[in-house]
Amino acid sequence: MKYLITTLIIGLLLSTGAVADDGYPLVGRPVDPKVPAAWDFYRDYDAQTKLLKDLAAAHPDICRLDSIGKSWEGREMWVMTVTNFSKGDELRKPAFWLDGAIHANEVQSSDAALYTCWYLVEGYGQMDYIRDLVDRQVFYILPMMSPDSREVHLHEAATTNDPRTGQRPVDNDRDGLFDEDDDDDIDGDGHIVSMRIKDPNGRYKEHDEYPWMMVRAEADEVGGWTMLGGEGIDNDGDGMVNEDGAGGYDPNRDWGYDWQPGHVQWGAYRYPFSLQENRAVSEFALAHPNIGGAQSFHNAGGMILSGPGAEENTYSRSDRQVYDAIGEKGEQMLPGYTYMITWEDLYTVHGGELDWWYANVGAISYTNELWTSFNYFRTENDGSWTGSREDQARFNELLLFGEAFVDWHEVEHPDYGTVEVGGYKKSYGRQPPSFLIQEELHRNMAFTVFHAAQLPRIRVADVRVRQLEHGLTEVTATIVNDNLIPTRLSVAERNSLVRPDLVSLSGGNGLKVLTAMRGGDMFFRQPREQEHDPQNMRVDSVSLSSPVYVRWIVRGSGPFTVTADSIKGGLSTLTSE
Amino acid sequence: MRELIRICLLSLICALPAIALAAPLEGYHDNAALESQLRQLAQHPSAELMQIGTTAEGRAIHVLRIGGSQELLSASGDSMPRPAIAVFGNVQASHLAGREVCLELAQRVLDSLDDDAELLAFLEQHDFYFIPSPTPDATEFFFSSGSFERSTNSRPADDDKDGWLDEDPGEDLNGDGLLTMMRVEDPSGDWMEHPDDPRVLIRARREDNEQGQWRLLSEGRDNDGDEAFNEDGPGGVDFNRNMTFNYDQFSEGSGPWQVSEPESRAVVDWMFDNPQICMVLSFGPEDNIRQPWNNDHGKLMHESAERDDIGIMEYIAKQAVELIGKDNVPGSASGRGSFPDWAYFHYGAWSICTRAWWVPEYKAPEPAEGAEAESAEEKKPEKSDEKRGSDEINALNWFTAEGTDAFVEWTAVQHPDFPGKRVEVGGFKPYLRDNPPAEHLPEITSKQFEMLRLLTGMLPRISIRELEVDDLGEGLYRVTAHVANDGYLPTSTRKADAIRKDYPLNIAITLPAGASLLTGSLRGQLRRIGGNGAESEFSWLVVAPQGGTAGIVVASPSVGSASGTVELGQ
Repeated sequence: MKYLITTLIIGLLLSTGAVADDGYPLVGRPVDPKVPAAWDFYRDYDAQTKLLKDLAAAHPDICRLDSIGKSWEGREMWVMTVTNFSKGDELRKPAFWLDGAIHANEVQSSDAALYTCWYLVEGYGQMDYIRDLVDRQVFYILPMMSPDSREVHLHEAATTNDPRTGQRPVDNDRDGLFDEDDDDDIDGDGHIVSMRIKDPNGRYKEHDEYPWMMVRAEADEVGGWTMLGGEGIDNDGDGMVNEDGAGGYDPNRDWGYDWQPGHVQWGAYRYPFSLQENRAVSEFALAHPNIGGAQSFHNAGGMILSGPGAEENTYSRSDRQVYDAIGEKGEQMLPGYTYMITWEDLYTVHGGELDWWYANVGAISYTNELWTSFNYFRTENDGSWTGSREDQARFNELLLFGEAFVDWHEVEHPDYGTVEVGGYKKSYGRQPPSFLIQEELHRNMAFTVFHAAQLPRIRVADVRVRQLEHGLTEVTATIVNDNLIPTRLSVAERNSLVRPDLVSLSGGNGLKVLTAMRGGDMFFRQPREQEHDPQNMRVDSVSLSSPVYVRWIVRGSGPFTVTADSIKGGLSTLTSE
Repeated sequence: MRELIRICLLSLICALPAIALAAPLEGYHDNAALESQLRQLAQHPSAELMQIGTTAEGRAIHVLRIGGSQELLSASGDSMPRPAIAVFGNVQASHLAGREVCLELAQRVLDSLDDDAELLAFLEQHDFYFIPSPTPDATEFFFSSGSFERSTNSRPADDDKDGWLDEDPGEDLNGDGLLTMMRVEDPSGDWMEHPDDPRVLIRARREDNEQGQWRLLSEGRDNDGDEAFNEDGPGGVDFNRNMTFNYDQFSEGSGPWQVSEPESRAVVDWMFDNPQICMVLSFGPEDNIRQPWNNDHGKLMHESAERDDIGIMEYIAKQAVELIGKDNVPGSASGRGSFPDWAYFHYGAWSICTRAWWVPEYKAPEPAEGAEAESAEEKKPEKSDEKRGSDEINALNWFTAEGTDAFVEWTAVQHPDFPGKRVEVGGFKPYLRDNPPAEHLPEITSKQFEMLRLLTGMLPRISIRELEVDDLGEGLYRVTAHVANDGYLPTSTRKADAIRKDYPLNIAITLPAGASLLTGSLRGQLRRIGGNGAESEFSWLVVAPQGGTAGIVVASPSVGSASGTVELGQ
């Protein structure tokens, strides 16, 4: 018995990771975290808030927790800033945005953002790769984009598909009453499932192999059941069931690029950022023009989505190349995931967050749809969001021993009389089961960190000085970007989202800049002169494939200092010998 | 000459002198005067002043509601708002006259309540909302400076898309407090003088063997060295380019995205929160009375006005033009992202926009009868038949006849960006060609007031025309309500119906004690009912063994309500 208790205690300690390193070089986890955390369940608002606060308190040198506003019901919109505050000005470092669960029912996507936060902070002391990123870059992480509805999904009766909306009341059926006919947990068992009624003329039948599953009868078959929709009653007496539930909009159709109203784009609310949660993010982004990459975690279907959301908003070829390079790497890191273009491979989205980060902020942005049906039996991805219903049923039977399904049972319905209710629990369908959660979070975190590592990094590679005749001096500098993402995407140039990079000359004795030019190549065979303000050369963009050559003709003697100053690519300085 | 140079240089150095412009538009209400006037109007027992938002610079956006008194409203115990017409002032900030007319219309309505029986009857069931100044920050520029025509607020913007904000404003080179135009003598220029009036420049046609003489630029310097002049001045975002319909993202004045500004959000949210607004009247260049809409707004179905609505708008326009006139009116603006378009296309109300004022056609005084006519003819200089620049020539003549000093004569200045070249500053003073001298405002308002009264008479008027009871025996009754609309306008625009922005007429029955429905629901909805007597019906099957009185109510916030009772089992 004593042995059993000891084992239990050790087991508890292990599960929170609190046991100190026993010498075995465990990989893939911060080994001795200051804030231990398990990742086999989902945290609600209070639990997330506590973890974020604990991290901020334990690691004040590399993370800070701020609220950027309040949700409709008054919850905080927490943003964790992760960077080494002692190394450089936060706003001058290349920055990455990460958010989770703008659709609150996509529950694990929030925990994936939280996990990323935890991993970066707790892994900082252990992994050189992370330490380097956190030293010279910034992460802004908002795990709960729709905190009000997260509480509803976790703590109230719901399905795996809701709430997608926020909790701001909308009169969906336009009868003057708001949210008056939501679904109802008729039997009070905590689950919203389906309703069916025995009916000799019904067109549904039980599945041959998995009888809990209802399928449509073939044309020449007798069915025996009629399906009555989601669990609910006609609360407002207008003859319709569940037609005006809480909220009634899609927060991911509320963003400021290519926004269209509800009759064109279902789910759009009144105008871009008419939802205060999103407006807080837009204001944060305007105040942080250094953001050059963004990821939004969603579920489900195993997708790495890029824009454009609508066919007419094509991306330039050079920007697309960057998207492809990162997205294709993601397919390797996330087995069963597919890199896709939203409008072409999924469906058209106007006013989505994904496009906004790209077209209005100038950041390379992806939306990952977490959880893939590939994970049921790791054979093939059948391309559907949640896998075939047979796989789903088989997985429930073999791996979960049937506990994902609420068995059909009779209830008294006020409008329909005696009916049966049954169906999958809200925790099954779009989310991994508990034992697969951590893997899902980790792989998506790793892809996000890889993406963030591609943020532009401007660098003055060399400064050469040459004496010309007549007392003139020529100063030539090579400006490079060591990473995949250019300092300004072509969309940022086209829409003028951030100013050009500036390459400036200073220092020297009696420096007087007479003129300055950019060379198309290192030989300056076709130089482009900048007459106005030649001391501060304007450079449209610096990319890995296109270094920039700048030359000044000056009076005065060295050493000269060249500064490259990019809003998204950071700051770099080099002085000539 | 040396004196002139000295003055010019001085003026370059000095800050802009105090406003030189105000005189011709004296009498217009600045923001403080407007607010105090609104507070004054709100003293009336039938009026109420509300603040619906605050601009970035902290100015209030006010709505003046005129309708039943507060006591009357609370006494009725009816929480549903009454159908309303919203009247907006200068949705395009530089069209200041609209703001004055809107304010004055509110005054006229209140003044008429004592003796205008029709208006009084209208206000027993409806409200007016007056929003004279939806964009007070942009309007404030006129009163604090007025140096150039501006409709944008003060949010910094990158008008020339070079990455810097507001870095190339105009400069007052001649020291008159105004930023007018600047012409640079240059054989490569595209402009030449009008044959009848050298003050007016017209574009030379090189293909017709004409020779340009001037480059025409706005007054100022090229501060950012991009060889464009004054292309990125202060601000900003134009309320009338910031709305969601037909939005031109990333174009000048449109803002970073739709409804990005506090004033835009305040107005749009207020409108959506008040679905009882069935008609919107506004003042601006998107005039759809003098130039009614056709269905060519956009290439997609939802971008076009609905055919039914176009017919109605044409009927309204025909009558309204009789009241407000259209001689010499300039063409209507395209209205990308404009408020009047939004009010119809995305909000679904009847949206009527008119230009408050424009420079009328100048008519030379008739020569006196008799002998002098001939000599006058002789004295008159020969006029060319040049069509280019005719608007400017007309405006110069009209202002001269009015005695208004509307034109800054071209005068030479020294310009550091054009050393050794002849540069002259001059041109029309800002704001004057869209806004009349204040003494014209009462007459304009009188016409607009008549149009407003015309519109009030057109709104839908629903009633329960008949409550039909069929006794089916054994205590079973079929109750059918016939709901009629005797107003001219249908109960909603076709557009509102198409985009689901209408509130359908919700209809409900209350049953006598002991009665129940055989089947079906107590409540239902009626979709759009046409005007001039069209009707729609709704039936219930009621089981009422003891008979009794059933009540029917039909209501929509933007239409109003009607109710009736019927006896079962008599």
